[in-house]
Amino acid sequence: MEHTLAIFFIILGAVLAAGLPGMGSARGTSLVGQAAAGVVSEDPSKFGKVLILQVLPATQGLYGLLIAILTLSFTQIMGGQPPLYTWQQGLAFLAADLPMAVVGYFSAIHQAKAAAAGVGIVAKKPNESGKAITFAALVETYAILALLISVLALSGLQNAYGIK
Amino acid sequence: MRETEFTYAVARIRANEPKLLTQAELNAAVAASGFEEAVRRLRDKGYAVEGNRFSAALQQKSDDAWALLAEILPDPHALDSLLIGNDFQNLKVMLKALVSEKTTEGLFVRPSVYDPAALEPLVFERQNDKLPAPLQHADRSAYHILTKTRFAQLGDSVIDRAAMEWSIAFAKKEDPLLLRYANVKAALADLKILCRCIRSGKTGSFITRCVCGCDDFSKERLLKVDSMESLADLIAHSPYAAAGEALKESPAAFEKSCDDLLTETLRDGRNNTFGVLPLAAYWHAVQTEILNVRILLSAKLNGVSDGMIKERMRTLYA
Repeated sequence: MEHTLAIFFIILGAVLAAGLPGMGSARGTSLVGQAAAGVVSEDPSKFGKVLILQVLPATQGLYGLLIAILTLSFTQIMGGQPPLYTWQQGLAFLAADLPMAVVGYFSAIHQAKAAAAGVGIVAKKPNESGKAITFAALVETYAILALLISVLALSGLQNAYGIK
Repeated sequence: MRETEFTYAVARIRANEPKLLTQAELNAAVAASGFEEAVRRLRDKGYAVEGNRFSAALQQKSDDAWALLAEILPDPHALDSLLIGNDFQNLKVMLKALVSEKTTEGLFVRPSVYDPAALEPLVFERQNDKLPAPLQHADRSAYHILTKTRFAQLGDSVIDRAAMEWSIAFAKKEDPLLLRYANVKAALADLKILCRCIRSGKTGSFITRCVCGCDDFSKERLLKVDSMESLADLIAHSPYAAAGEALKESPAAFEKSCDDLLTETLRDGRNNTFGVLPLAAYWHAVQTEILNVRILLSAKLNGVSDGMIKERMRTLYA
């Protein structure tokens, strides 16, 4: 029973790590996509510049997926023969996934808002598109920091629990 | 409505904003040696003026801007507070045509919230209760004034006041920033009315029926104004002090200052990425540009000096 509960926590962590940033990225790319479509419908030559801005909030979904795969891999659930875990250990893996899950979701949405504002810059001053991309890209920092923390935490737990 | 639903529309507007006249282009048109040269300089910006008649070209510019907004607005009624004034203007046209037994052909203002062609038979057949609710009271009052007293100025003022009141009422349902714009517009309209009433010696009862009151000036406060001095004092101690300074200069400077204050109210629309404000600001920007071009071309046709034209030019949004 305890092992099953531990596995539940670990899988819940992986689901949150993949799901929340994925939802944030979907909302974010949709938002920037609407803005990009508005500009491209007036000036199709700006497609390349606005596409870069639309792609920016998509990365959180990839980071989340990476953390989910690492979680399932480090805990050997992916291999189908996980060692016996206590429920506290399962909860610890869930906690390790949370930085990416939470920060990934919110940073994707906020990065999308910055990128949508950047689309406005591209529309009015196409030569300044580099600045627009920089403004939006800076939000990425926090998603990368969360990714780093989740990776370090997962790696630390793997070592602490002696999982090979 | 969620502000992110305007994202596509705002992006389309951002892509269209560079097509607006810039200050440098306007200055170049003002510096033109005559009407023809000014028209030539404006043609690149979409003003297809033929001969000496430019009203159709200006109307076309306005129609094009509204066609764009109507196409991209996620909610077709999102900017009703900006248009309802045109419905009241059309109501004036209909009532005057009815009373003077003339035609309304070519006199309606567009765009409007309600189709004037649908309203005209209702006004002419006096089916007041079938008119849209915002127009009913103004129609009844103004018709009564026009038929019983023939006091056209009072009839107009009653309709203008209703237009302001309904603009504020519509804006309350739309957006807090549009509500602020409607309030500023009403405040400036009240100040202009007071100014004209005092200059022409109109009585308190006339003023009572004309001013609408708003967030910045209560109706009671406005009704205490009985001289140009007290009006100047009221303005000096309000957010419209700049207009007060212009009032000391001339009525034309006052009108310009009021229009510039309105543009300033929407200035944030240049930086907002979400919400309805950039769309409202674009519509206001196009109307201001058209007003400037009208002043410019009229002045060029009549040989007015460049210096005087520049004094009348409204501050551009772009």
